Amino acid sequence: MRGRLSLALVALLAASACAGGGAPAKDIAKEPPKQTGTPKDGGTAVVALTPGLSPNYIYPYPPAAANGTVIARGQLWRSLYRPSGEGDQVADAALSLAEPPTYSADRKTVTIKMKDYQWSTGKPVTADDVVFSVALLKAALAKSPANWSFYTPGQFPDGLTATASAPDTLTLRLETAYNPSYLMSMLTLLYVMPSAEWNIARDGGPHLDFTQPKNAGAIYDYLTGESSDQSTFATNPLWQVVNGPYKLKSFDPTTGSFSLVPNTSYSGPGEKRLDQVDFKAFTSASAVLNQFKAGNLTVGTLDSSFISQIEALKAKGYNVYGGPAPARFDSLTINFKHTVDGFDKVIAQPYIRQALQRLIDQKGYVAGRGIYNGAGSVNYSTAGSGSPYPPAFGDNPPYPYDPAAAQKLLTDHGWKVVPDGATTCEQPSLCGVGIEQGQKISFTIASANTPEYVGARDVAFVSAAKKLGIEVKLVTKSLNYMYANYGNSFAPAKANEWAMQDYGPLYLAAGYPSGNTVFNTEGSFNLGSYASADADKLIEASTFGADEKALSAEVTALATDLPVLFFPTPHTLVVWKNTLSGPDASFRALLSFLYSPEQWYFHS
Amino acid sequence: MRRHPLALAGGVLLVLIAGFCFLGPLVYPTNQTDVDLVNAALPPGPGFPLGTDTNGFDVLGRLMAGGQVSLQIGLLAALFATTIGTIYGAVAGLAGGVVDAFLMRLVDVMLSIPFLFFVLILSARFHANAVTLALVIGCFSWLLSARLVRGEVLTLRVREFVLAAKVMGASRSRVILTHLIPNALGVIIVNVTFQVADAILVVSALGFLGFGLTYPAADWGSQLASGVTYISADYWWLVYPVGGCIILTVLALNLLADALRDAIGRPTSVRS
Repeated sequence: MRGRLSLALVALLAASACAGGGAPAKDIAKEPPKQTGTPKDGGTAVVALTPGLSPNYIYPYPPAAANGTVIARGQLWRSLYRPSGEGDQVADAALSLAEPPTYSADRKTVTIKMKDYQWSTGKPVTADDVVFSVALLKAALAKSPANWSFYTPGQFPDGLTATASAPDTLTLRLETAYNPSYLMSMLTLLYVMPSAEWNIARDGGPHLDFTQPKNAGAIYDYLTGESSDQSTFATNPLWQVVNGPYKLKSFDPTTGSFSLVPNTSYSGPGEKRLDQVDFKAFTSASAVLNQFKAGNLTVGTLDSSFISQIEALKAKGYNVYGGPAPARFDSLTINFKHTVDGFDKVIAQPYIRQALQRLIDQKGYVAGRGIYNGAGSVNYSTAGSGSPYPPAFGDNPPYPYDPAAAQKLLTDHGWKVVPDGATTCEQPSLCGVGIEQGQKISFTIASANTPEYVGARDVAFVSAAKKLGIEVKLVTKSLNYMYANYGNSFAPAKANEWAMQDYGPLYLAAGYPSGNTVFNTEGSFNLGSYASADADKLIEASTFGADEKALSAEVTALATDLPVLFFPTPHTLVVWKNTLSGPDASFRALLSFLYSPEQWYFHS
Repeated sequence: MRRHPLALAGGVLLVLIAGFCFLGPLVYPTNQTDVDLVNAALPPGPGFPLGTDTNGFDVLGRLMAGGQVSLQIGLLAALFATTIGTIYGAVAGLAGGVVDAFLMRLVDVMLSIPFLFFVLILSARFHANAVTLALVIGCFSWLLSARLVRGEVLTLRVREFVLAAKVMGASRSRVILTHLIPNALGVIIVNVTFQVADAILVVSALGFLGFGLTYPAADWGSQLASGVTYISADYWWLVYPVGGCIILTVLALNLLADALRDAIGRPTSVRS
């Protein structure tokens, strides 16, 4: 064992010695270069998948039990409306399967005209296919609400009746009217599946009436069963019937890497000039960087830890630009059901959360060479940077970095602050309900082991808390473990394992970043059991009301009540070879991990 | 020692490293708990002889703090492993027959478990601290000690003084504790030295994989892992000093162990 480890360490040092780089770059391009060059047909683009996320499922709605990451999402089967990846709009009208919806006066009837798209079989994509997709989504949720992370009981697709009033006309009838933008954000998640080929419950079985819930359930079971066999992803005829621009050519179950070839029947925008697109799975961002340096990758993203590599990558013939992804926010998620050391009682006090938020030096984190290295944006809201629904406080956040103010908040509420010691409650009547004399502020943060900036910002926060006599224990966990175990909505038994967690970014719907499902009391992605009647009302207004300004009110209220502690948003670096080009938007959308290789081409 | 200049070098090096880690902070005190973003990732220069890390901690001071933990874990794991392994091996060797066969097959089974894989699973579930890390490492490391001591006991148990003790009515435990273990002490001491080196490497490997100790504790492996992330940014001072410390410590322990083994005149240890 010693020999092997010694060798590994020596090899590591040798490898490190070979690495090099320039000084940190401060001038990251904020926009991708303009589309350029004379397009050439052919070529293979190699795309780096997000490190740590290897696809393992092909059916668009993996059951919760499969813990699945869907392969080539949006490439094989398009959603009814394609997410835009731009902060100011929900859907990309040009790349969507349907024309924009029209609404009745009461917004309870929505009419959608299908565009002229085709399946790979040559048949048209019809309204019936959308009805089929709604039926299968409902079937998934009938088996378990956890089967769709965007589901809130009683909301979409509950109360939704989809009918095909004509082959190209879809009618949605809603029991409750939704905000049009919110409904659109839901429809961007509705993947359209082939009703004529997939409406079976066994190999070679009869075609079933999927409008019957029992049949839909049987079809769902069959399709998810077929999807559990990774070795047949590229060969199962079911998965070759697609409406997206690509078909699956091969899949490596060991690594999660896969290759796509053009679907010649795809009739949407894009010339499909590339012969093939290879998506490569990686376990670390460093490995992605090394592959870029070796010139083996065509397109990918890197996190801000690698800002110093921009010049080196440019010298290697890559375009690089960076920025915050739309509707992204980074935070410490608070577990309001964590009872160890009386944490639930302590954190329930708004002034405690405000004090903790005031310990986060957002500007310092952004500037810090060990955290964001200049590649980040200050952010105090769930809407993220540059949102069309900004919080009312604008650039004057309610709880900016101010340790002195944090200390005053505690002392004003009956706590005896002992810097670098143990701060305790001395006057329970002021400390808050359920907090007893002598109570300490002590809790555990589960910190993801990747990317690097996550650990660095958590350490900075813990250090600042210690100076105020708040004991925070930091434990490092793998991202997969956190995804599977740290959420009260799906793993309540683990509630006392984590008081706060930092898993990196959370992306809400670009264009309409509603906190529904994340911060409403019954939300399926309400990891920390945040419960606020006021927030629920505001979320309800932004979800169901007609006034889109309600979302700003929701965003403002959440930023003020602090269901999470906000970190600044790190910028994502988008990297691609300068011999590859395409519409600017297709590269900007990479910030949101939306790939449109059908629009890309190589040029000389 | 004079006949073993490498051993002398190893011994001196080990004393210097231990002095650096445990006495160094008295001479060169640093703040290893308060993050200093303003002074983060500074190269070596005035005020920071080895620069600062990405949290603004003085690297020289961090090496001392990390070294203390790494050496303590190494020593504790080695003592734990050697104690368990010695008793287990002595019992197996002295008992012989079915008991010996059973006990040693159990060792074989445990040796077949991939250590790092097992520890990574454990660390995903439990929070690591210095003591638990040492115990977990020790729980796997005693297997080799057991094999070594058993082999030694097999040769000792047929020696006259052991037979004489048995004839005089000495109990098994007395034979083990008074006669067998003291006479196997040379092998055990050599093994302890190797075990310490092994444990330091294991702690470093776990830290490198992201499952070592977390702030405010420091260990060399975690420091190295953090530094490697930034090596492409030319933050060389986050990698080479700590890498050098690990290599020098392991080298010193191995030189010492080799010399002790030669002095005792035993063959090369059974090692994986």
